[in-house]
Amino acid sequence: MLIKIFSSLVIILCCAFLGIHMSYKYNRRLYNFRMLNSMLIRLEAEIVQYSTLLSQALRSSANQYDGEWKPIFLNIADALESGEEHSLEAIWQKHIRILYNNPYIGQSEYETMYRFGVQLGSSDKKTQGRFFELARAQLKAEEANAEELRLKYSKMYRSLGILLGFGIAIILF
Amino acid sequence: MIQKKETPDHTYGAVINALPDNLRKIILSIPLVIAIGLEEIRIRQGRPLMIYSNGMGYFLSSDGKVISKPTNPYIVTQEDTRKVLELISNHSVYAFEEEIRNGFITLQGGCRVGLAGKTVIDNGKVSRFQHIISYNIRISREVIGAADKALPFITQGDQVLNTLVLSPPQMGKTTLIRDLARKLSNGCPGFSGLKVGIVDERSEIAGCFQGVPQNDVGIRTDVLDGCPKAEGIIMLIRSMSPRVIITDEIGKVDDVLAVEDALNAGIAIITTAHSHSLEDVRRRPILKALMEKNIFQRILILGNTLGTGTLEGVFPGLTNKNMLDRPIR
Repeated sequence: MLIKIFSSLVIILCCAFLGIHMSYKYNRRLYNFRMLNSMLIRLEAEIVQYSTLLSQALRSSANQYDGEWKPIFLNIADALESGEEHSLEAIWQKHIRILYNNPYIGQSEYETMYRFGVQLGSSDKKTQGRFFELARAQLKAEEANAEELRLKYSKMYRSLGILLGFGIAIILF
Repeated sequence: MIQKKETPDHTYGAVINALPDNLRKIILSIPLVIAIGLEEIRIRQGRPLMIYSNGMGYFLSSDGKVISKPTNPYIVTQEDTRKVLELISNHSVYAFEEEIRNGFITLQGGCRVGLAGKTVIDNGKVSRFQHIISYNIRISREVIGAADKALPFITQGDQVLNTLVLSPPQMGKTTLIRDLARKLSNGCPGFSGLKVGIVDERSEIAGCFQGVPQNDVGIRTDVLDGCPKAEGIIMLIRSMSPRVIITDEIGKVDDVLAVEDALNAGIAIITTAHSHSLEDVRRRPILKALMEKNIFQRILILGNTLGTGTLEGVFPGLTNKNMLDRPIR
């Protein structure tokens, strides 16, 4: 009997953990959105106000924040400085592609950022400012969707995890 | 003839790095004898790739062969010109907005890239380039010792005399004043170094990259890079207390007023102007006005009778009395 109770408790805890893990994806995605937005604001300031070279601007904006985009920005900065590859578009897309199957990055923000690199650094400050505005407006709309999904599914997965655990425990009894 | 030492080509690496892979391979295939004397690389969209070396123009084929006539040359593509802009601006076109508006970008190493193409005009002035389709990569060479012969004529004890250097284009005016800046700043036997200020409107004297001089302009030298001459001279007088101000290609009314301000503040001026002779100067109203004020105590005339940078004449002001018996280099 004691073993049954103990096993049931383990099952409930495991399922609850699974539910939390499933809901974490939504929270983490939102966190990445906020970090990315802050990085882009900083990057825009470095470019439009201080005319900082792109590699330094990427490094400086990435160093201030955290999340999945941070190593990507830093790697792009390294690649630009090393001079191994000559086209920013190629460097950008090569490094962004790393996030393609990342569970904490949605397809929509991935595509927005993939396209964003094509225009980065290639025009005057005024035009660069417009690209940033456009990218941030798109990301804001996608962030609102991500927030909606989080509210909808995050709680659901947590509850489902616990319920599933209880369900299995009851069947085993 | 004095032994002049051309500095190692730290600019050459920067030039190579500014080229896309295909153009880089072509330039690196040029025979050494031509590469050593390389002066310009001309990249014009839809037209043959060209170089100038030792005063001669050559076309280049896609396998790097140097040809004197445009038979089967490499034709520069739109993709090439786009990549060149990306590379010379370090993938940061916005950071060179002002330079691009002025028609050039300075590379790390002090080399200058001239730009041409379709401009956009706002309020009667060039506001930006819509398309850049021509590049002139000028390989500047710092010639240490270029000022050795000229220096004794423009100094008296510890004093530097107000000096104007005249010559047609590409006769070594900028090279001369760059080396003068270095010598006056560092000092040399019989002359202790002094504070030098350079107003480098077109980034040609010090060849600054992000404000840092890429050419040796001396240890006591402050450089105002990309700054209009008239404004820069006043700024240096107010803030950096130089003993000598060096600037290139004087010619506007504002420049003349700024030079007068500097002289009133007890600061010596060394500057240059495009001109073939003293007679030519007398025909140009602004320069003539400046000369008639007897501001310049020395006028140096450069030519190429003994090679580029030959000191053809030294005049004590606007007189016809040449202090040289014969040209020297």
